Amino acid sequence: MRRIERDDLARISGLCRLSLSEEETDAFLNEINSILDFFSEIRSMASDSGTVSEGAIRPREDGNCSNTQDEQEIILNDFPAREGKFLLVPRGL
Amino acid sequence: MQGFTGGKHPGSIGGRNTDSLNAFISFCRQEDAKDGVLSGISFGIKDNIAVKGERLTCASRYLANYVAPYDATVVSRLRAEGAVIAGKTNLDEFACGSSGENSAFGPTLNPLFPGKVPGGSSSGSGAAVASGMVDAAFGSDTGGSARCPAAFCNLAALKPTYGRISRHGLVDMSMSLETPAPIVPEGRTELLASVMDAVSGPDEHDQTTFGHSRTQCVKRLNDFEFQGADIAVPSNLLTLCSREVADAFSLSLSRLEKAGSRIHRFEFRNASMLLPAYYLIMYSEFSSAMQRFDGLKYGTRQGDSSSQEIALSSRSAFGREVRRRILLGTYITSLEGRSEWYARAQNARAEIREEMEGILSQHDMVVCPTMPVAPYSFGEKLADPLLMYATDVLTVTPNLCGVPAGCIPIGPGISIQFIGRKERDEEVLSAMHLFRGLS
Repeated sequence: MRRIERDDLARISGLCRLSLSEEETDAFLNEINSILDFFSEIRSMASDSGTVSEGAIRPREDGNCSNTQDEQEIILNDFPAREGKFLLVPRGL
Repeated sequence: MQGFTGGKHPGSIGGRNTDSLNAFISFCRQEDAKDGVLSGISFGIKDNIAVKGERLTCASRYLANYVAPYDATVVSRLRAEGAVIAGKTNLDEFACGSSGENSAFGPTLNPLFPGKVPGGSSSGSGAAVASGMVDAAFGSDTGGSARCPAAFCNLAALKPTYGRISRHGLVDMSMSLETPAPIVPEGRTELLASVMDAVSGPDEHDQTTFGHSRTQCVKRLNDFEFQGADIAVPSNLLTLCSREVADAFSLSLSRLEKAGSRIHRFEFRNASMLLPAYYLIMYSEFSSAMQRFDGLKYGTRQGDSSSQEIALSSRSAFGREVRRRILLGTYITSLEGRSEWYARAQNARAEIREEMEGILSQHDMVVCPTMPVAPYSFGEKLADPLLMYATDVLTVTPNLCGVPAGCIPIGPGISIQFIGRKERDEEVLSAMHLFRGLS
């Protein structure tokens, strides 16, 4: 089993937008490798093909959930910053 | 652990003005209760479940001042039957924990066993009911998060069949595993039945409830017959239990045999896969669910530069266990980790489910202890996540399989767990209720 290295953790933390200090990086590296090692039993599965087997995930049928105008408004009103009908977000560029 | 200064609404619950257990994060403004089967019954609601107009913190600094814009379906259905929503209960941050020690608002204390953890992640729900501050509570159960505090606080709890209770308004931790779950005092399984009948059934806001019926737990509370029942016991899982848990459970099996049940011991073939499958799937779904907390849509926005910097700054409010799980989930679902970990976990879950469904098809019930250990001391397992994770080994199976599981005390901080077939929540609750009367 390949260990997670510092570069890997830097890439992962960037993907999930978590800022890690040097000290945290060292601690998380140890913990994450220990945890994955602890769970490595799962790698012994005979049926493994590297892909999710047919039937392993049971999809559910889409139903008609309610999506009324009122509910949209409740959710939009919850946005932290608005100006008129616009939702304010930070500048992207 | 240093508690975050959150502040509670002034108020009293159960005649007590102080919350020395830190069971509540906030107390709710009181409204006139309606008439119904739950008239006057007071409830604590885990603070990852929405109560309109009240803070919804998930015990995180990130959401410390977030106010829920609507009632969760369980809350609106409780209100419709006359229940009083007393307050929002403490929890491990975003339900990440099994001890009640991981809250940004400070740990919850165990009212029955001083110095010992109350269990988590629904720690405040357990402590609030056990101390008599409220009549009942709702927790959420992803891998045992309601059953664990119920066990450690001598209470009864039911994790229903997945889909039987709407998750609308529950801040999801792991969407395929979790469900809201009621907790009541040990001697009030009738109340548990009333609560289930009040809140269960299809909900237009949650399509996982479609096709599931409302329970008839009150009507069928005395239906289960121990005489002649075939009870399966996973003997290899019992070897993971402490001596005191094993001894208490052994006495319980004697009670079942004396009542005429046939005990069938079996080896759970996939026992070693339970924790890996559960945690790897939970990490994956959790990291995905947590992407919504990007500093833009919810909670306190920190920083005013680019969206990336705002996200980095805002997400620094997450606690250590939350960050660890997000990192692990992101790795497991990345291109590199997907086939090595995620696919294997899903395939293991399918095998566990197939094995469990096979056992349940040949038996009336599976029973085992709820927790492998009695309540332990604060700090005992906090520094080592693996020690903490290991305590979930007996509770994760019902979540992985979507089947109902209920627990009832059999000793100080120790309880037995009844696991039934999918949709047979009524049978599980009836077994819990009638088990108390067995000598």
